[in-house]
Amino acid sequence: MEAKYRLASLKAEGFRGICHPIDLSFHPRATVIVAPNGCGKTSILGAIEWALFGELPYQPRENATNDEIVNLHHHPQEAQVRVSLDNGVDTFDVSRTKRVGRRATELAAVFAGLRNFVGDGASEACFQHLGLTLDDFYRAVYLHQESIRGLLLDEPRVRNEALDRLFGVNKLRDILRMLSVKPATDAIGELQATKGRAAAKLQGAIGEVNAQYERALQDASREGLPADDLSPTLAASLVGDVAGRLSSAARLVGYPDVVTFPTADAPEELDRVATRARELVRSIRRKGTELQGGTASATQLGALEGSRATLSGAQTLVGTAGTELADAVGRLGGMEALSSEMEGVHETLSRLQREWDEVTANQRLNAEAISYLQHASAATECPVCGQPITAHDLLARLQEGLEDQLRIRLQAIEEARAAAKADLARLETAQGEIQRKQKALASAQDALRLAEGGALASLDTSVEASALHAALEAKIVQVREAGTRAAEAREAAETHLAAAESVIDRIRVIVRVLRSALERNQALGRLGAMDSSESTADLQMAALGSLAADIQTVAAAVQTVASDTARTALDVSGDDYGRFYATLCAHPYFDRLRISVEEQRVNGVDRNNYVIRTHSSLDGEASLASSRLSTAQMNCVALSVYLALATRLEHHLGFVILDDPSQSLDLEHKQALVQVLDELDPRLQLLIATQDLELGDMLSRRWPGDASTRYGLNWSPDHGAELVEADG
Amino acid sequence: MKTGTSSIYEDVTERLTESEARGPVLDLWESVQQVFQDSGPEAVKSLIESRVRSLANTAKKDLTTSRAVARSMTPVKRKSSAAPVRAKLAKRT
Repeated sequence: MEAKYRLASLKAEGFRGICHPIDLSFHPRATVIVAPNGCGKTSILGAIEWALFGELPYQPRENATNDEIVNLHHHPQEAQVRVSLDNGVDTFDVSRTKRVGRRATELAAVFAGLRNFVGDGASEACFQHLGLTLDDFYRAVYLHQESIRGLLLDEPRVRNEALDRLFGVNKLRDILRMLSVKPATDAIGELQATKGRAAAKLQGAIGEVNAQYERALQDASREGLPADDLSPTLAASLVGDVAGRLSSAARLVGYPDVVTFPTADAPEELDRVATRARELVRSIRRKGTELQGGTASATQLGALEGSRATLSGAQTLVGTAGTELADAVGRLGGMEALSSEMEGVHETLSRLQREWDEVTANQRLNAEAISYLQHASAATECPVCGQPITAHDLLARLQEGLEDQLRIRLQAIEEARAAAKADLARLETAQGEIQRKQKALASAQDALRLAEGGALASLDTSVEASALHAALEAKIVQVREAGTRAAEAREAAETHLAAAESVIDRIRVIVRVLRSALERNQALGRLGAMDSSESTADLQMAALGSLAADIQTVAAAVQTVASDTARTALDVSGDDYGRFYATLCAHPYFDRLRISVEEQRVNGVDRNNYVIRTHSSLDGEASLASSRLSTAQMNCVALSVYLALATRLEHHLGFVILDDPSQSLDLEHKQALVQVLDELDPRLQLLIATQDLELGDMLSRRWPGDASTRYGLNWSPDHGAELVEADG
Repeated sequence: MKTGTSSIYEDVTERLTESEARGPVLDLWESVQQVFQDSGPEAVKSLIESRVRSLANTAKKDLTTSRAVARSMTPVKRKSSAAPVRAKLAKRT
């Protein structure tokens, strides 16, 4: 065994459970730290690891700056660790510090007390002098509780991972976990399915295009087109025909002669020309319809005819109203004569009224006189005329003569008045009739004026009222003649248009034939390209297949190295772990241990699968260790494998750290553990931390006095871990 | 017995070389090893998926072109236009 570095001393403060400075000197053979849980044992072991590698992989992180490294109560909040290593020839001191809130640590290394390294240089110096990485440190030097725990679990995946880690092939396992061919095979499957669908779609489309081609040929035959000359040239000549017919039609209906078509050879261009020709047909037809007296001319003719009818009606009405008024005047007299006559009647009525008033006054006097005379018969003269008369005579005279005269007079007046009223009524009726006739005439004249205005508007020219009717007639004839001419032109144009449409249909048929043939050829070409193994898709699928094969090759090589490395480790350490197991476990029946490496396929990739079997020397019976052994006995298996490997792996460190190795072990197994540790190469320095006083005492008894160093620990929040006892 | 995980990568390379693996296989392994050491196992997965995706996308594009050809050919309902025109003319006259 070459001179390897052993732990000489450790100075630490402010690191995790260590607050105040502590200073440990390590015994060249064995140092045992015995303290209850939570007193800082793991902090001391972690301090060595952190100083050398700057990491604590099993420690959960508090934050991005790893402030859990620094003790909460330390002032000035800075973790400081210094580890001194000694290989009997040279010393190697490593110091690392870290402040709260800073991610980086400061590393310094001093070789042989002379050569100083800092930063990256110190890291490089550490790697060179220690001869191993942090991963290797865990399997060759530091038996962490977590490493043992994985081996104790029943779950094969976790156990396999733990053993891979122990054999240093865990990174290969991580790579294998990701080297799956599934993405490639899935992609190939998906592409093949897509290719199948695309091919089916193309086949279907080819079938359709063939049918379409046949239909187009049948249409061509119906159109009388030569089946052997359905060429773009023929279509182009038909385009010229269409252009000529459309030009003729356009000229007939006064459409701007803009019928020109670009030269077209390809089916798409010919189709566009046909579409354009059809648009022109529609435009020219619309123009023809308008020309024939479509919207504008019909309106004009309608307006003219309407004006003519309105004017005639108005003139008739005026004539009738005038005649009727003249008849009435002739029959009843003029309005002035009637008014004069009515004045005379009114005067007669006034006079009769006055006479009536007078007679009634006399009648009243007469009545009063009679009344008087009837009561005053002594009268001797007439109270009216004063002539001498007796009252009796007077009374008789008044009663018989005057009264009758007055009544007759009133009756005559009444009759005259009735006659006058009848005259008045007759005159009023006549006057009313004449007035109505006058109004009717005025209305008819208004209507005539309106009709004349409308007629002038529809003529859109200035014409004397008397010549209006004739002008309207002339205009109507003119418009009708124009309509007839337009209809003839439209009909002639329509003949050209219909012929043009027929030719356009032929062009379309040729286009369909050409297009179907073209598409069919394209599809067949595409299908041929798809079927060819030289197609891009097939080449890419082949590349994917190659990639899958390459992944499998790489995975196979990785797995071969992983399994070979594990087998080599097991072969090299096989005698040792068998011996350690026999001593440690001391099983009365299953006294031998054998670990084999098999390969287990997961997601198409092989990985190491470790089978830990126990055997009986008595009858050769074998069984899976995890199904036959207790947790304590499985702990013995873990310790056996770890210790066997730790003594076989090549590096520059000559010490082993055991963190609480006696978990679940009873007294006998602890004694066996002490025996195994004692049987290890005495040049291998041991650092053992345990909460197990019994194990601590056993180790002290095994290495009494100067043969080992023993530390005890106390812990308080203010001081952190404190060394309380140091036995040499 | 050796320690040092870096040596196991070399062992894999050596094994691939001994088995006369093709150049692309060695390139793949170099890439896998590199991304694993730089970025961890998930990066290896991403590397494989990215290579698969790159090849698959090219193939998909090609197949999409084939499907597009088929789709462009999917017959449009092109009616025979001759008959309706004749019918229209007959109706008009």
